[in-house]
Amino acid sequence: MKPDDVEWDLVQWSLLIAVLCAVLGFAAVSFSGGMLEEAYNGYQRHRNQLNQVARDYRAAQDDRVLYEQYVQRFAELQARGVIGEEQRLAWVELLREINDQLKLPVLRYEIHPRQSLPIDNPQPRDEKLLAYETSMTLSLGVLHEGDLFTIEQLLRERAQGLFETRGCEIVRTERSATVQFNPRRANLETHCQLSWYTVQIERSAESR
Amino acid sequence: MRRLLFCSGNRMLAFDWSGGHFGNAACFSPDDDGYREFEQYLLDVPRRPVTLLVDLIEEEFHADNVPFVHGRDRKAVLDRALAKYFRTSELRAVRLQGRERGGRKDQQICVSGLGSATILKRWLEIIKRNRIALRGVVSLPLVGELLLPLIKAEKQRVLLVSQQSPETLRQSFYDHGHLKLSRLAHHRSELVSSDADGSPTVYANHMLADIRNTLLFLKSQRLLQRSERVELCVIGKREIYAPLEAELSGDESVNCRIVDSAELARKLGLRGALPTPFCEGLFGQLVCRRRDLANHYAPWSMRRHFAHTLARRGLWMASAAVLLGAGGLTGHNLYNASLYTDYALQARTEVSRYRQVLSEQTQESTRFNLPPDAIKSTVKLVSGLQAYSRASPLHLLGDLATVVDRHPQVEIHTLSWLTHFDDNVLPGSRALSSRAEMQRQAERQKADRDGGEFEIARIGGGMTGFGNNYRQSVELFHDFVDALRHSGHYSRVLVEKTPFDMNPGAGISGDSGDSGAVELRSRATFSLLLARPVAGPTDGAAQVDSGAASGARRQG
Repeated sequence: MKPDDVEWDLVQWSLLIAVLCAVLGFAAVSFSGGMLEEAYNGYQRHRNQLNQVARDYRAAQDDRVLYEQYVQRFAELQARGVIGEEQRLAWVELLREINDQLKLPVLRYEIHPRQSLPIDNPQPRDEKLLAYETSMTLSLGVLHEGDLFTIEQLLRERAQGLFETRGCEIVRTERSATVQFNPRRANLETHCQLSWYTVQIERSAESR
Repeated sequence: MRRLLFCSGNRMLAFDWSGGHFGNAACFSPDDDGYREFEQYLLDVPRRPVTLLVDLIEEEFHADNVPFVHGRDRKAVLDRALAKYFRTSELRAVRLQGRERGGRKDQQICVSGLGSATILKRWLEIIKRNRIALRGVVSLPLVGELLLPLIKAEKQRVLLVSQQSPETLRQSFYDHGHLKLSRLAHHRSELVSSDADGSPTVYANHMLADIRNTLLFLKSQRLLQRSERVELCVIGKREIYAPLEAELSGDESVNCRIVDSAELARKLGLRGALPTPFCEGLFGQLVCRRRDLANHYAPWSMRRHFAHTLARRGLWMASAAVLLGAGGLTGHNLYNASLYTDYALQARTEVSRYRQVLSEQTQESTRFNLPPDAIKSTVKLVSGLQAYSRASPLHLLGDLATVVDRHPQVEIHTLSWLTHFDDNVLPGSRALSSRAEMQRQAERQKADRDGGEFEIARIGGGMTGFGNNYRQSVELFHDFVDALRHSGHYSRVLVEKTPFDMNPGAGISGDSGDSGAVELRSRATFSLLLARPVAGPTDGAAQVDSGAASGARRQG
């Protein structure tokens, strides 16, 4: 059929309706498609947020487990002065208390400058851990070995900090002489090297 | 709803057909009144397409053979055949009817058409003028091919006889389902009339004469063999045509059977009675029921308005489809959009809930203003440092005292003790070094510190209570050393100096007088080097045990 053969008045309404339907259909589909896309984008956005917050929540749960596992120990260490600034004054006072209690013939101490201690432990994510060592030379004159045990026990119980005995030299004052029972005279001379450890946490700028 | 027109030459019948039922029947005579009424009838429903079924005396059928070719050649051959028989007529058609079995195996065709369309001209003009959609012009004898399977006559040669008007008799000859020849006999009077009591009577003699003439013509055309017995099917009311069957019962060349029109109508699915006493209703039912049977003769120019109707219907259907599709898609989109909106709302609620819980947890864990991993790392670091602090010279002194208690001849004068990762380090100048210094030293030496640390002690002492018996002194010392080695506390027990050193490399001198006692005591001194791993937090005993075992192995 050629275009000239077409009698448009016979098909014009059908054609018009078809075009109208096509336009309406296209508009409806476009509009609803836009709504769908918008809703889907919104859903994706919220789902991403949900995924993110769920990850955060899981991480927080893990952190919570960690926190509950270590927080008490951490508090104890902080209370003992292991974490934070070194407690030189407390150490000196403790030695004086021990001496007052035991009445030792000799108790001398020498605290050396603090130095940083290299650490192999993994660092936390945001903070930085710094370990320090403070050497202390402790010279004691004691009546018998039992005093040494007592001193060590008192230090371990009362000391504000964590210490390690790095080295020790115990010498009988006179090898040939018999043991003296004079409380002002030492039978054993002891020179010990202690290392006091403190840990400091350098906070990141964000956490500050 | 379909509209069927039936033209038998002397009248035009019109029916509306719907679901196997004919209604709204009308009859129009070929005069001015008839044409006017016909026009009015059509214009009552101007948009309804019509199908024109023709049963005219002007219709001719020619069985012919043409070469068997394809494509354009076939079209050319068929066009030539059409032009040969119907040069001037527009209403014509050619049908392929299989191939010959012998010879060139030519294509068998049936060329049919209206030799003169004068009778139809006015009717077609009215249809065209009023822009009525003409589905097609259908030939009744050709439609008859579709009737053959229903009367079980499609696989033989059969002469089908039917009456579509009172004065005419249509006789069509089919060979295995294909129309070969058809003729319409026109009589001056009606072939069926009513007798005195009103019952219909057929003029059997007139009909028999027509049938016999047709059979003679078929034989003369060699469409039938001379001695061949042909199947004669008469369609009509059985009670009317029964005399015909009786007349032909003795004829050897004909096997006559009456096919009852009412029964056939039921087979065709016609609901209700036939619209007329004749057979045009049967053929009309076939035409209306078969969608593929739309046209035989009408050229495209006549069907132009039907094309418009089809286009209009197509556009309506397309519009409906577009609307339905768009509606469905829109509904789908909106439904999904509402689902996604709900999901988003749920997700937002979940996010708020998570954030609330997180906020509460964060408030709980802000006591130290430190993240848990920092707390954990700090505790781990301090735990490591605490492991170092367990080592003490007093533990070693206690273990040593246990052995010395069992050897009263042994005196301990000095104890130098240190911890180091290298158990070959000797207590001395480096004994007072710090851990930081030791670690730096280990890094400089690239030492492997995985083996842990050791307590290393140098013991200085002397032997007493052995009189002047050097040998006993040495034996007592060796007993002491053996006791240390077997105590299980040390991984290494090394004698640096024995009392009364009898090493061949060392010099020796003596004083056997009274003044020799002091000298003897000074020469009965010894020096031992002890080492053992620093005990761990839980497996300290195991480490000591394994260290002692390894020490014993070294000694062994």
